[in-house]
Amino acid sequence: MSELINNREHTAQELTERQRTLKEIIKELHAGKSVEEVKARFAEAVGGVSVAEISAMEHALMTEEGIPVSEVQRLCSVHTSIFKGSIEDIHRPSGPEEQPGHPVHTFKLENREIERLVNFKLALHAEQFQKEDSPKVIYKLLEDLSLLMDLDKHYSRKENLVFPYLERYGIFGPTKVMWGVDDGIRAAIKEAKSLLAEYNGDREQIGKALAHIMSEVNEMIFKEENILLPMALSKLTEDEWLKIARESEEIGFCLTAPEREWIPERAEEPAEALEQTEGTSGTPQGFVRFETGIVSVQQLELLLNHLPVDLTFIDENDVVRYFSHGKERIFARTKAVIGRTVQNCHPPQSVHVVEKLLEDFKAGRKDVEDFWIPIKDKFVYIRYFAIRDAEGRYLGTLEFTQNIAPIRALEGQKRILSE
Amino acid sequence: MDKILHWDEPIFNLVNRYPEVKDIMVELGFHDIAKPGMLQTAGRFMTLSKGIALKKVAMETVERTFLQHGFTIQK
Repeated sequence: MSELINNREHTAQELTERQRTLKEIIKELHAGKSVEEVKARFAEAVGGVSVAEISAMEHALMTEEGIPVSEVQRLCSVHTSIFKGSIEDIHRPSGPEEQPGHPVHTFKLENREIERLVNFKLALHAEQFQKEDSPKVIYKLLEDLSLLMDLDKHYSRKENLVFPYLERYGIFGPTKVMWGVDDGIRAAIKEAKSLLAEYNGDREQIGKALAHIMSEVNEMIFKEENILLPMALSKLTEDEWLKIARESEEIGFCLTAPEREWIPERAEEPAEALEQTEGTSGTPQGFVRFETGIVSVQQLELLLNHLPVDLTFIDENDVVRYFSHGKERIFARTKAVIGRTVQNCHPPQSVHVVEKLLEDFKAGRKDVEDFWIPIKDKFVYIRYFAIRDAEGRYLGTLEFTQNIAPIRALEGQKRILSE
Repeated sequence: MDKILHWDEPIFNLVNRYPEVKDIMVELGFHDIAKPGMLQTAGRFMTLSKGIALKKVAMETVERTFLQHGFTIQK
């Protein structure tokens, strides 16, 4: 941490000094000097450098020196090769989390992309916008924000894959607080997008909205890398990280993707054992006898997965027991939610709705509750059913989610005989 | 006898040593520290130096405030 403090001790003047040196080096590169030639000078002039500083410098190059964006972008790869050395010298690879494919490595990789997008592109366009609120600039901002919306996947992996394990170790408060902040950032991006889409000439309002997003996103990166991820690393076992890595694809990645699958240096055997205990490999044996027929476990599973709806079942203690796994799930679910209470699977902002619903079900006041929301080209119909036994005892809740857009679009008739 | 805090010591340790540190942190704008579970978990990784970087509070402000409460911050 000492580099952080040292940075703080620099006076504003010293910082500008440092940035001036950095700019000179970039200009030398621009003038044709080789990477090797400037590398030494760079190391001498600047001990450690933060990504924020690189961004600030690149920004200054464009705005003050008038170097076109395309040129700076062309130089980006060169910057990276120089700066990489110095950044990596400070943070020498020390553990599995430094290996490509490890969830922590992936989270950090994504953060670098997010930083580039927010501190470089978005910041530049936001500034342009204050000078000239033309449709062209508005379009660029909208494009940046749409790209930035990708961090939904970064946050979702954190919330649905990492948080469940932390909760297993008794860490609840911080994860809830962070989830709330994540949701705030998602909402802020959406809000800014709609403000831009229906731009009414209020430059200041948009400037504020964008500045808010930039600072919140940067702050979240800081929290993740300095608090959340170190905390998770200290608690989670390698097996747990493996599970997280394997389930990550289900949700997807933000602006980038791990370059390869993470294979810990140990023997392969535990991985197999892991699969066996989870029952993910091989065909489950046995039959299920119902009142109205007998099906094998395999048939039952396939049958449920072929229903054109997503099912999730929680038991009477609000613990997620099962979800179907169809081809086009509307809301991503990962195996990590199984065994978690439903309250911890919902964003804190909406959890009270869920609690109220379950309360009504348990008290017998309601048996069903429906919601419907348009999501992009889908129209999602979400139904909750209280599951009760013959005596009416509450045994759990079934969530039944369906895209009814194609059904709503039906008109006229189609009979078996019509061609 | 001076009460000494270190920039790089986890807040959890600081508060364990001097419970009043928690209130001073809240006073400085570190509201999250008061939320349930925060201190025992995130507080083990959070330090004063990370806090000033995160909340963009001036180091002088933090030092001065702690000094008023009889604490010296050591680097």
